[in-house]
Amino acid sequence: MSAEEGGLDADLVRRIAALGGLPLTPQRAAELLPALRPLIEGDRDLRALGLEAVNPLAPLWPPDPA
Amino acid sequence: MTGTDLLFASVSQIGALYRSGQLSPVELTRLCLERVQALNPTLNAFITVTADSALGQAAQAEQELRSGQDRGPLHGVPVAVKDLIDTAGVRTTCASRILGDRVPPQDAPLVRRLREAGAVSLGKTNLSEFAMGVSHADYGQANNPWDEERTAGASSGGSATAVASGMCFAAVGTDTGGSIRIPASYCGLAGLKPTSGLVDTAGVFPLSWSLDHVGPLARSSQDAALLLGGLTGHTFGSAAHLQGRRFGVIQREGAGTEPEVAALFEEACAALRAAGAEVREVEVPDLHLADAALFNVLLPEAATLHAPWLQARGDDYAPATRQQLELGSALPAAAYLRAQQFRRHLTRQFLTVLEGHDALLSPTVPWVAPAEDPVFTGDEGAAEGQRTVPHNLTGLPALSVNMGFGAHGLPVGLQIVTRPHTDALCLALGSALEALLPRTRPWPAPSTGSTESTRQTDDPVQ
Repeated sequence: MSAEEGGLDADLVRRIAALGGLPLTPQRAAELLPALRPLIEGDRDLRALGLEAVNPLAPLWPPDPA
Repeated sequence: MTGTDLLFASVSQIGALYRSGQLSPVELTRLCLERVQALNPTLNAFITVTADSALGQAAQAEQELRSGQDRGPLHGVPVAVKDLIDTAGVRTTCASRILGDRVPPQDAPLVRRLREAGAVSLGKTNLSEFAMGVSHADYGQANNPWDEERTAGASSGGSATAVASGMCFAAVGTDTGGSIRIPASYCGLAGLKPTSGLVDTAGVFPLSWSLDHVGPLARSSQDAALLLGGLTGHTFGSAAHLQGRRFGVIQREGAGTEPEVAALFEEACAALRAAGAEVREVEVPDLHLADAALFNVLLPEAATLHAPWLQARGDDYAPATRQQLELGSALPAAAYLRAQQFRRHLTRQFLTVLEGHDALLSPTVPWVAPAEDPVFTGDEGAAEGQRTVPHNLTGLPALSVNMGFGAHGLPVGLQIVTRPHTDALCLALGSALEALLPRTRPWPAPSTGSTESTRQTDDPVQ
């Protein structure tokens, strides 16, 4: 699924940034869109792996698989 | 030894000359400061040179050594520190306009350790703005001593060019996606990103708190081991043989890999086999997704740190830095969390592969030093970091050592990766490789002051 099919557009970029505390003009949000698309597509690849939950308090290194 | 020979001697050689009374720390520090004065206008290595303080530290080291108080291998040795590491009373700018006048009240713990080890700090080295990969126009790029028209590499380029040009004997860098190893490769140095957590990052301005590492750049793995010892208080001095070692090759191929880099890597693998090591291709599953994970961790963490300034002083950033920070603000939380999940997954994949191998090898960077550093979220930036980025995600120790000279006679690095907390082995294998692949070119002799510096230097703030 492409970023466009996932509904990523300048208005959504502007709203996500605003929720995080960074107001962007519609023009600036549109300028960011081309650089943001590969990041969102990379996330889709990671999501497809179906990885397990991560506990940030778990030991830094996992147990030896052996 | 002549003055130039002294400037390119090893840390151990300098220590021997000090202890035999043939050389004094003040004498050598003066030589280094003269070298800085001559080359900094061209190479742009230092943002702040603390000459008076360095001479004071050297005089103290001289007095202590004469009186039999020996602080160890770094005692009286001139070093430099990247200018995002806090130094009490000395401007720490992060090569930014945002923090251009910041003077920290205290040293970072790693700087205190270096002082306790007796190292002489010559000053603060140039970097890309906030270590984000692009230079701010107020500071300019650190230039490469092998070719002054090219970058020394981002982001620890000032530290790298200072060491490679003989201004100092080792320097401290930081590495969030390759910022020690890439400049090491471009400048022909040994540069270690240690195991995550080995070197204290307190007092180091973060780029991305879960990916940042602090480590040494030096002209040999042995010297890097000595600086790492000074940074941690531990010893990393073991030797390693190559006979019978099992090396796995990863990422031999990669976007943009220059033929000279590929050929040098093949020669290095052949030399290892001839030395009795086993070298074979291995695969780390899902390694190709490392870039996606790095950006989706780094950018939100950096954006969070910079949020107050990004809104109030956005125009004070370099345009590319600002854009990357804005991208981090626009990424959904789920993307960040999935990238963190991937890190644990990738670490397990690496540890499984390392069960059957002493170390993993790859070229460090696909090419020799370019004219300018690429923006790391672009295609060229992704290609530049494709082999360094995975080890920031996993935290494994990763060392770049010189494996020869490629296009235009420029240095090319080979990366060695070992298991967590085996930094001593990683450095020892680096030393063994350096012995196996002796240098074919002398250290560079850059022109002195032939080009104009992009900004003021030699302005210590005490």
